[in-house]
Amino acid sequence: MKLLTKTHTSQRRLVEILRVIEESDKPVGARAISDCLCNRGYELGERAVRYNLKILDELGFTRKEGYSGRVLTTLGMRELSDALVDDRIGFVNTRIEEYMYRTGLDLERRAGEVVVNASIIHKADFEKVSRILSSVFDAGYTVSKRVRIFDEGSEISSFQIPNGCLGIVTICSITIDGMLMKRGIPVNTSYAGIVEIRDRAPQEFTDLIAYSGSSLDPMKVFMARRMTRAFDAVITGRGRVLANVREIPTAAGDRAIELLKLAREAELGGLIGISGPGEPLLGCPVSSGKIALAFYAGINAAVAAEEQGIRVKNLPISALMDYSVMDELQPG
Amino acid sequence: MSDISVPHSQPLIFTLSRIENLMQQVTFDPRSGEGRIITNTSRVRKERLQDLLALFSDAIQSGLSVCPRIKLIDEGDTVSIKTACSLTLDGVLLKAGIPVRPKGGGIIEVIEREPVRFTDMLMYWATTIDPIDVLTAQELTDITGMMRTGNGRILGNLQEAPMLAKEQIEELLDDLADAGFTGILELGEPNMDVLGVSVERDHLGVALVGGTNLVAAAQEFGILVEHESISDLSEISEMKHIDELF
Repeated sequence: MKLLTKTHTSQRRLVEILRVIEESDKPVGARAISDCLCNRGYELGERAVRYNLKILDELGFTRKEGYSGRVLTTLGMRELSDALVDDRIGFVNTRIEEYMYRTGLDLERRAGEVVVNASIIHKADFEKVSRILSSVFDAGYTVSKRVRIFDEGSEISSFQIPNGCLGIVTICSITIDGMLMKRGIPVNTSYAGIVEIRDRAPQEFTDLIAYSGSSLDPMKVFMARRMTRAFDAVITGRGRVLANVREIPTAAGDRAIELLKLAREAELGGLIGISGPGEPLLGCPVSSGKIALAFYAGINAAVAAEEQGIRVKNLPISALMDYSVMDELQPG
Repeated sequence: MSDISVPHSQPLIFTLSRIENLMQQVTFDPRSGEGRIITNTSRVRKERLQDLLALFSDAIQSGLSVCPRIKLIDEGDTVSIKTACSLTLDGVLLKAGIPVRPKGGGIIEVIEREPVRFTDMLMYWATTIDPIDVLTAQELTDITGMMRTGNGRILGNLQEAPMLAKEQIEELLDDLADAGFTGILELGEPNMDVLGVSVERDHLGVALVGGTNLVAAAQEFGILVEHESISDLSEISEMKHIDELF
């Protein structure tokens, strides 16, 4: 008994209601859902929402909590990640765009919102993890050395850090995309991939996945397949690390290079290379009229820890944080 | 900053090009039952071979394969196993003059033995790793569930062809079924979604069961298998029915 029995339009409506409930951190009622839907372009009155909620309750996707509030059930959560696959192909791009829009980095003041990845680890592993993280930062395979550490019980975005654990937040390369976009350069995050490192230098992409052609986050795909050898890249200078590629108009090249210089001074780096107009970048195709910029993924540090057998839960592109409250990792 | 501009390089080959390259080498004729087909390669340690074949046989009986014929190659400590890849069907349609386009691979939810929808999909043009291989590693499949209870998540792919060719496609798929090539999950109506994925205007979609389900099932059962999908071509006459092999 799933949503599939419904027509496409009503499936869409039901899924949209599930999304509204998911995004709220507390139980929501029909009134609030109706308002939220309206902001997203779905005109659905309170009464109609109530009717749809009844359907969702019957399907087992939502349940009542408190006075007429609704929360998602596990089944509902699962449905959200399964339904309407057609809408979810390339959806990571939409997420990235949203985060780019929400950044507000001021390079001179070294403050403002940046995009971060969160990695959750056990407290007992902290010392070992911070040693590995520092080594990856020093080798330059990430965007920035700055981190912020969250204790158990605190929240990153809406994720609560479980007891006995710590959250380490690192800077995601989408921050750079946001920085360029906010200064008027149209940025298209095109591919995620694995870059081969030899003699401590990037050689070529060995695999690529286009963000716009997948319903799964390509970075998560590479991590789950355990295709990286980031720790080896740090220690022996030979390995494989995560990276991603964005395209900008050829005419914006000089301006972008200038901005990246300023970013470097503000301790944001990780640039692997810039392509010529329409020319492939380390084996990654580039559209004509565009140049491409490849950056190391901020998540490489946490990935290296995972490779060393430490249990790490990685949540890429998970929140925004003020750059000024992030600092270099202090060696334990 | 001139040191950051990198030398011109050869672009990587994406899965779609690899598939088309193999498709055009397919010579299998379903009527004569002869010719070359596209195969996947799995490699297993010899002591696990019988377990693996038993599992393959179960999976094939549950309808989770393209064709029950396989080929074993002794390699000392290990055995290489060639199984049919569903893209063989694309090759056969192509050779019959139908411009068929492989779109992507994904996870298909099955309820009461009926495929109901794709829950994840990766387009062939967008990736250098076969989508099916990508998805096998994400712990998203539940092939065991499908075999035991009829409910689960299996691997499959989607292709598109012009709706004009509908009758000819149906005929060819019938011929292929007679020759032992099954695994058609859904043949869509013109312009209609196939298992929740839309097709281009005036096209129809065909969803096929992925040959890699056999390997994903083995992984779920804890049998360690090295695997490469869409790896090469094999002569069908050198492949034997699984029942003859174990």
